[in-house]
Amino acid sequence: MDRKENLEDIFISLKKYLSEDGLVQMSDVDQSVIYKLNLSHKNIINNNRSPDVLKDIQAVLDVVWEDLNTGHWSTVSEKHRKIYALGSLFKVIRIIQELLNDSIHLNEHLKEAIKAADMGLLMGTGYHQQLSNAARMLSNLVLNEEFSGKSDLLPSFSHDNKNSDWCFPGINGKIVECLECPSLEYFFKHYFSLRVPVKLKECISHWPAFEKWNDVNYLIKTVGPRMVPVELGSSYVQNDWSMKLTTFHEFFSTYISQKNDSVGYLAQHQLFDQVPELKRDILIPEYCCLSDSEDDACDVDINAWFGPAETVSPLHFDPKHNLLSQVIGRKRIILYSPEESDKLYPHETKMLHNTARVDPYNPNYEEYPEFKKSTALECHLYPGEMLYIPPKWWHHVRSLDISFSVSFWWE
Amino acid sequence: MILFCGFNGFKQFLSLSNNEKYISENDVIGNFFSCKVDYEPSLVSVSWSNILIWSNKKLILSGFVNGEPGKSESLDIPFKESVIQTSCGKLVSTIVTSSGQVWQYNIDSGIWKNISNLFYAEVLDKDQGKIVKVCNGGTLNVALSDTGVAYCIPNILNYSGKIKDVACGKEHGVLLTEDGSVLTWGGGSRGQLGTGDLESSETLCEVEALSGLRVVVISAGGWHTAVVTEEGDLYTWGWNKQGQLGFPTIDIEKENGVSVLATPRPVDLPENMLVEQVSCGASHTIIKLRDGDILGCGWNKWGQLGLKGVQRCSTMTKLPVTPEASVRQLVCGPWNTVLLCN
Repeated sequence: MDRKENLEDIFISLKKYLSEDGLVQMSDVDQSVIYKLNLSHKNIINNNRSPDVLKDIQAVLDVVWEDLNTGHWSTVSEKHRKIYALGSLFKVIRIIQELLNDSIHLNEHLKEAIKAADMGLLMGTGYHQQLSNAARMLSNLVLNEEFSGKSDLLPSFSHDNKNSDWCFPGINGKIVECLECPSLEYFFKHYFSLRVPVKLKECISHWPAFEKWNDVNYLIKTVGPRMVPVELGSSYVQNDWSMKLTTFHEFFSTYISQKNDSVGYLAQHQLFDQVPELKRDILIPEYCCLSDSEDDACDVDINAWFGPAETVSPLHFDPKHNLLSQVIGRKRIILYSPEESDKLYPHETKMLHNTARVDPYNPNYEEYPEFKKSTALECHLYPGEMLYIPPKWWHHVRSLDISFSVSFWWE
Repeated sequence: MILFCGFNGFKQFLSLSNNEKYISENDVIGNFFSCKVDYEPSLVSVSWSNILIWSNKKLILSGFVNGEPGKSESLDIPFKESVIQTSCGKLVSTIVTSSGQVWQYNIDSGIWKNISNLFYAEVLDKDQGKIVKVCNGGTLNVALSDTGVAYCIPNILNYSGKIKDVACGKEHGVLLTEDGSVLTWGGGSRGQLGTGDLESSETLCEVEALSGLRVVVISAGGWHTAVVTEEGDLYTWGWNKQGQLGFPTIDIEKENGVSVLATPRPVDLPENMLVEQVSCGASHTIIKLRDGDILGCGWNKWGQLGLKGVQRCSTMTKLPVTPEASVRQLVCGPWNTVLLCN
């Protein structure tokens, strides 16, 4: 089937979402925004050929984007996020509609549509299935064109310095205990309920991810044209730190497949919600169902952490239980118990109160004398291994190779 | 005469252009459109979708009115005094009258509400005077009285000296004190408070980096702040995503680019360029030099700067405005620029 037919199929399946929705009504929001949204809806249905149709949608997205960036993210109104998701869906559908009339610069426009869908998924709320279906279908279309027969990709990941003897400057901690696939009861009694870190082996080695993700072409095929957030700079406490949205393919070719002086890190991103196909390659460890109380079922946040060697997450703690699972490459983790907090000199600002000022790789005892009295644990994480990090435990994470980890957070 | 450019998605500029066909057909006015209007507007304020004009005892709202674009309506006003200041907001517009009464107009419902009782309520050891200015921001609204008392509506801002001017962005407020120092409060995640960090603050913070300088003009953009000193220097801080601070963005200059500036920095202009006025839109900044030239930087996707063919501009660039225009006042809307001329 040629691509034009493909596009038509995609358009028909996406247009269904429109008629089901009907016109949008929302109170307590700027009615001029709703007006433009409804106008765009009507213009798409009527296949109005004017270039102003896309402009109207873009104006809605741009003005709501301002609302999404006003105040703390947690206080952003659900309505604005919903409008943003719906506007993104309109944009995707409109771009395809325009392509059916005139398919010049097809690939660029397809990428633009994928970007719009991903922006809707990342910044908006609602219309998740529609947007993620659209992105998946369009990705397949772009990929067939772009990546078939390309061989500049790495055949597989290799460890940069396989023989390193885990010798590092600065703090060396006591090695964290290691268990081979303990029973739920045993793990609960001796580690989970006592809040003790432990390394777990042989628990995740059956994941399809181990075979699949080592094939770079698979990752590129599945995620390549999708937009992902990338952290730039040595670590988030440094001034040079910033964040940008880019395609996975671009991130891969800039920061992973070749040496780059600056570090780019796809960190703490809910990639598996955005690209559900990837979720089939992993399984939520059953330990994540453990809870201190008897109440409801487990609600697990799954984040992807993909980056080159030498990514650093500075010493910090999270409020939830964490199983950090290593799929590709190695990571070194330094841990401190919550009782050590005073010796780690946490930042005083609200935003960084969970981040320490001390650097375990370069301890400054003159400025932070108490740090000398602290006791560290350390863990060397290899592919196939998981580290249990209890809530509030301080941890510093550094990658030794190109590394892909999956973290499971739960309460 | 009036010059304007920028977003016209609701044909809000029709009222300033004698219903020119060009204006009724274009959503973006990409270069400065000059127009002689029948009436001389004395006050103009601009929101995303509307323009509010006070002219010859009439209050005219144009743009998205009564659920439709391209409308212009002379509002029935519930007061007799003249209007001394207007602020056209997203959901409501606020009007200050010569007697210090503050009225709010709900654009959707068309209902007027006198909100003067929000002020003058607290007992103070100083004369509260009467309100002379109100600004509608995104998440906060600010006001100023003629005796130098400033409000983050409805609260009085606690400051011992007198306040000369107020401004507000999407989530931050800016005060200019009588002795030329600058105070900020509100959201600070984009550096817009100028306090050297990205923290937010509910209480007033002095912008210490400006101490020793006498600031004479302040303006707040969406997430940035710009001030002019007595010497004619321009200082900016806050978010530079579109180059609105007048410094290269990080995707243009990796090494020296600015994404967020938490401390005020002087904008490098040729020595003979002295700044007189500044006005900020959501993500752009316009200045008027003492010699009358108009410059701008920041976002231009919707024609905000009146420059052709660029999405944004991260250095202060001379805008295509003829000196004969003799610009009197700069009025930036969120996505547009209006120049009131003599």
